[in-house]
Amino acid sequence: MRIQFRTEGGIAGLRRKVAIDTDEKSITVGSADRTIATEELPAEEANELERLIEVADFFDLSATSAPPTRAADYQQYTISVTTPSRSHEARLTDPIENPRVRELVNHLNHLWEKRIEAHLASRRRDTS
Amino acid sequence: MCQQIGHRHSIFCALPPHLLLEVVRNGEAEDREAALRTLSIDNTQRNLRGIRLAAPVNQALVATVSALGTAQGGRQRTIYDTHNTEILPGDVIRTEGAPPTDDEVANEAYDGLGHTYDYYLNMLGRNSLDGQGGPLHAVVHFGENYDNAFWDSTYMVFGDGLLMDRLTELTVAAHELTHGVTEVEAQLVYQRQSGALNESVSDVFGSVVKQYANDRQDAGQADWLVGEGIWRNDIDGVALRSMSNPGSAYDDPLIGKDPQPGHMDDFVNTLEDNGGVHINSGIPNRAFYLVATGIGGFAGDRAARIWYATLRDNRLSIRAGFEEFGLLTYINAWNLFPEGEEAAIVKDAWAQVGIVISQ
Repeated sequence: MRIQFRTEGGIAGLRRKVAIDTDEKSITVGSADRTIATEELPAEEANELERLIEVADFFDLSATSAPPTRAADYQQYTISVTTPSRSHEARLTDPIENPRVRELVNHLNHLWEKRIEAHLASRRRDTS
Repeated sequence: MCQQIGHRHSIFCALPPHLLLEVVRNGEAEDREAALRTLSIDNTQRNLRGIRLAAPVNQALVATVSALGTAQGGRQRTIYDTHNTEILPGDVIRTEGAPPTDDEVANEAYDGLGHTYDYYLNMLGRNSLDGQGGPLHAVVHFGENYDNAFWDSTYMVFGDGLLMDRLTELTVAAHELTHGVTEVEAQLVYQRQSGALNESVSDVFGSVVKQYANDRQDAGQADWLVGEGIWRNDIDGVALRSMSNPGSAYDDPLIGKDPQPGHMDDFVNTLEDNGGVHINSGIPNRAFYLVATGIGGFAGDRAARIWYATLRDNRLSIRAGFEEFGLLTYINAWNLFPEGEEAAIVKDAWAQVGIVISQ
């Protein structure tokens, strides 16, 4: 299963990217069009991700949610999932009301944050 | 600006401000009156065929509203805590008039609402975001490591951040609340140029509220940074945006380089971010900075009044581009300050960012 996740919008217009291949057990994280890290994805993270996609009924989610009409500075998320038999892309906007979808997005964010924190920690070590 | 005055409708609509002024000085009585109305020099706040004018602050209104306190129509702040969930609005943790809590983030949000309310009331005569004393709501601790703050049309919502650690900073709070004002007054569509204007208006009043809280700081002394200090220490950035020098706020491999342009030559055409609303706002931001420093003094006084009058101008279309907005700031500068340099300064400021006002 291949998963792509990206964020856009928000007050800073931050653009985060996560690309995962659960069969190859690899994860690549990026920010602002730059790849920050590519590494092996532990089996538990891969399994959890597949479980959350299942629980969220991802393939039945609508492709787009109507953008909020009077809101501003909200973030937008795009998730696309591809398996040998099917593929689907969903675009979501803050705040995500469906708790199972919210959990999926949180998990994807955590995968990104963990690698970013590791990258920042090694950057601090390199400059100290 | 066009107003039907008997049979003289069309000619007064067509005259540019300097000719209208000529008529005011030297014309026949009836013509002078018509020209005066067209220039909107009349200081009473009224609704001329749907054209609302920015009037000098009605001091009686300010006094009455201030005296109301927590009664309906006065300042009414409520702070909520979603405890790192995303279920709005969460629990009430502070109400209007209550003492500070142990939660510094909640206290900063509370103060941010207060400064914003006070600026709008005392300087612009506006009673809260809706202009009618509506309540102000802020939500803190939204989501997990949520690197954002947003306006959801009722609540101003703050995350705790991961790469950001000062989301409740005053300009951010005032920026979010100003989306509420724009929603009521102008409904600038949150896409492309009208969206960039919507964003810019929030940055303008966000900055002006901070300067107001800093003792009505002089425009030449202000830092013109939106979200100053927002990034955590190991990120190379001073702020979210710079109005004086768009594109200079941050440059770190982890978040990229601040992409804002300061001139139409560098306008960014993109589909992301609703057509770059947070990117191209740099251009009108810089225009306001130039107007404010050109006029001098506290930006929240004359410069902001011009912008506020434009926001409330019924001629401003919901899909306005920079050119339309610029033209209306010029016209409103004339309306508000017919004897001064303000209109010329406005025209020049827009020219410096690549928007030519043909008037």
